[in-house]
Amino acid sequence: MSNRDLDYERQLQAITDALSESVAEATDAEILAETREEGQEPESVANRVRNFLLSTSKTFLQREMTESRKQYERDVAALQGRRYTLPATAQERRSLLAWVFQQKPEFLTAQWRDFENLTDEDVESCLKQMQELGILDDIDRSGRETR
Amino acid sequence: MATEEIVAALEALTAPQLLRLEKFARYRVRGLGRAARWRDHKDLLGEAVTSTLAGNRRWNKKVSLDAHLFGAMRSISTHWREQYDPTEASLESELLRRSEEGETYSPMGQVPSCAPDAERVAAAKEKVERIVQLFADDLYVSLILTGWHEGKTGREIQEMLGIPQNDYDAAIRRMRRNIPDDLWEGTRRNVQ
Repeated sequence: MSNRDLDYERQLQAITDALSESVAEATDAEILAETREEGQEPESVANRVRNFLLSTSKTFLQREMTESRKQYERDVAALQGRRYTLPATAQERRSLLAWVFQQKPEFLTAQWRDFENLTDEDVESCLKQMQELGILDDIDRSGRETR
Repeated sequence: MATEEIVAALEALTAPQLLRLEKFARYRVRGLGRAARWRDHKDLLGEAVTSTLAGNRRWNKKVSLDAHLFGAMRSISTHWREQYDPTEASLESELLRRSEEGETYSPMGQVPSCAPDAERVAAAKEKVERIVQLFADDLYVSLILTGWHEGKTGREIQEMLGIPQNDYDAAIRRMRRNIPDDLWEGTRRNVQ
C-alpha cells in the first residue's frame, strides 16, 4: 500500500473534520437554508432531533433511578438480614437507649431529644443503627448485658 | 449542574442549534469510517448527552449547551477512533440489525472500512476523487483539497497560499452545500 493511498484516508478525514467544524460555525440562516435545500423541513427535522435528545435523557434518568432503587433495596435487605443482639423486651431496649444517651450525650441529636415520645419501633431502629455503627460494641465491653 | 437544568436546556435548544448538532454528529461519524463500528450519528449525539447528564463531561454554563455538546462529540469520536483496533476480528452475525421494513442487514456492509485494506482505501479514494471532480472548477476548494491531500492543516494552507479567512470559510461552506449525501452512502441514517 503506497503512502499516496493512505493520504486518501487522511484527506477524507480532513474533509469531514473541516465540514463538521464549518457546521458548528454556520449561522442560523445558513443551516436553515441548507436543510431546505436538502428537501427537508427544518422544524420537522429539529423536532425529531429534540425528541431523540429528550427520550435519550429520559431513558438515562430512568435507568439511574432504577439503579438507585435497586441499591436502596439491596441495602435494606442487607440490614434486615443482619442479626442484632438487642434486649428482648421493648422496656429493656428503651432502658438501654437511655443509658447510651447518658453515657454518650454527643449522640443525643435533635432527632432523639424528645426521648419520652419515641415509639418502641423508633427505639429499636435507633439501637440497630448504633449497632451498625459499632457504638454498642462499647456498651458490650462495659459489661452491660445485651442479647 | 443538576440534571433538571440540563434537560431544561435541551428542551430550550432552537431549531438551528438542533440542526447543527445533528449535522455535526453526522460528519464526525462519517470521518470515523470503520472505527465507528456499529455506531452512527445518533449514538454519538446520545453519548454526548448521557455523559453530560452522568457528570462525566461537566457542562460549564459559561458556554452554551450546544457548544458543550460539540466539544463532547469531538472528544468522544476521537476516543472511538483511537480505541479502534483495525486488526480486531468481529463476527458479522453479532452485528446484524433489522430494518424498519423487517429485513435483516449487516451494518458492516454499510460502513466504509477503517482497516488498512484495499477495500477501505479504494472507498476513500473513490470518495475523494468524486469530491475533487465536483470542485474541479472551484479554485479555492481545489487548492484546499490538494493541501489536505499533502497532509497540511487548514491554517497551513491559508498561510502558504495566502487565502483570506473569509474566502477559506466560504470555500468550506461551498463544499458542505455541494457534496451530495449519496456520496457518503452507507453512513447516513436519519434520526427517527
